[in-house]
Amino acid sequence: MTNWEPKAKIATMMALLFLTMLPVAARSEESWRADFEQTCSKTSEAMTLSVAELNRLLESCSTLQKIIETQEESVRKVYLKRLQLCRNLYAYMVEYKQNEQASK
Amino acid sequence: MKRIAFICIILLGCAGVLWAAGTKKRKPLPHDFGSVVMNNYSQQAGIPPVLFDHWVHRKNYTCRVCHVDIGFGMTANSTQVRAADNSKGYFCGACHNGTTSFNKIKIFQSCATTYSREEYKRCVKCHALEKDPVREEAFYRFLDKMPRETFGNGINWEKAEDTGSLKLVDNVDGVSLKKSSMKVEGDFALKSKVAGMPDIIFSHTKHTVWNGCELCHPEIFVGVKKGASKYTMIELFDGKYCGVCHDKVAFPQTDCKRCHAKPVAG
Repeated sequence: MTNWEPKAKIATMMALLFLTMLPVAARSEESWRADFEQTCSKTSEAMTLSVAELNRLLESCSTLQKIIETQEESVRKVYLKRLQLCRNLYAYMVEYKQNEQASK
Repeated sequence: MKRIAFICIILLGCAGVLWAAGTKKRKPLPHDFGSVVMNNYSQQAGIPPVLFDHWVHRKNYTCRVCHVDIGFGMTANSTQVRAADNSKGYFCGACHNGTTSFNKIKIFQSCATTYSREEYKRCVKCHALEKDPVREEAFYRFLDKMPRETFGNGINWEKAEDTGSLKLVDNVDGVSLKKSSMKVEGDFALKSKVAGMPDIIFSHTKHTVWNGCELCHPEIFVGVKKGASKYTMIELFDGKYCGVCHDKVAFPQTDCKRCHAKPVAG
C-alpha cells in the first residue's frame, strides 16, 4: 500500500461530507428567509390580529434575530433593520390592544 | 450730531440685515427640496459623495419600498451604506443591479468593487461632483406635468397620487414581502392649541398609501392612547413627529392649511 492512499481516502470522504452539507446549508438559508417572510408579512394586518397572535409573531421575531445576527454584514444590516420595524410594530400593537382592553 | 446719529442707525440696520441673512435657514430651491448628501464612506474611498434626489425615486415608488423593504433609515447617517452592500444587491443595489427594469427601461447598475475609466461615468451618476443642469432640467420637465403646490418642490404629491398622475410601485421583486390588503384606521381630528387656528385633520388613508404602518409606528409616533401624546409646533419644526418627513421631503410645515384643515364652526 502506497503512502498517498489513506490521504486520498480522507480527502474523498471530506469532499463527500462537504457535498452533503451544501444542500443543508442552502436549506437553512432559505428556511430563515421563509420564516422572515411569514413573520413580517403580517404588518399590514397587525390591527386585526389578537394579542396572542401578536405575541406568537414576537416570539418568531426573537428567534429570527438570533439567526440574522450570525449572517454576513450586509444581510445583517438590512434584515435586522427590517426585523426591528416589524417587531416594534407588533409590540406597539400588543400595547395598543392591551390599553384598549384596560380602558373598556 | 444728527448726521452721526443717522449714520449709526444706518450701520445698525445694515448689521441687522447681515446678521439675519447669516442665521436664517435658506429655503431650498424646488429642484433641491428633499435632496440628501450621503457621505459616510465616499470621500474616504476617494470619490465624491452621493447626491440623492428624493423626487427622482418618489415619482415612481412609495416611501415604504425604500424605507421598509429595502431598509434605508429615516435619519441622516443611520443606514451606513457601503459600496459592497450595493454590489451584493442590497440598498441601492436592490434595484440598481443592471438587471431590474422600470417601465421596460433597465435600471443602471450601482457600485462595483473595481471599475474602469469608462465605467467611472456610471459612478458619477450618483457620486456627483457638482450640480448637474441636466438633473435640474429633468425636474422642471417633470414639474410641468404635476399638480402644483406653493411650498416644498412645488408639487402636490398627494394630489398627483390621488388623481393618477403618479402610479406608485409598492413592491420590488425578490425584496418586498407578499402582504394582504391593509385595514386602515379612519381619519381623526387633533385639537389646535391656538385660538382661531383650525384643528388638524389627520388622514391615515393618505399616509398609509406611501408609508404602510411600520414606518410611523412606533418609530415616529410612540403613543398608544389616542390624544395622550401632545405635540408642539416647536418639536415638529425641530424634526420630531410630523417633522421627520414634513420639511425634509414631504410638504413643509409652513404650509399650515394643509394640516390645519378642519372647517371652523360658526
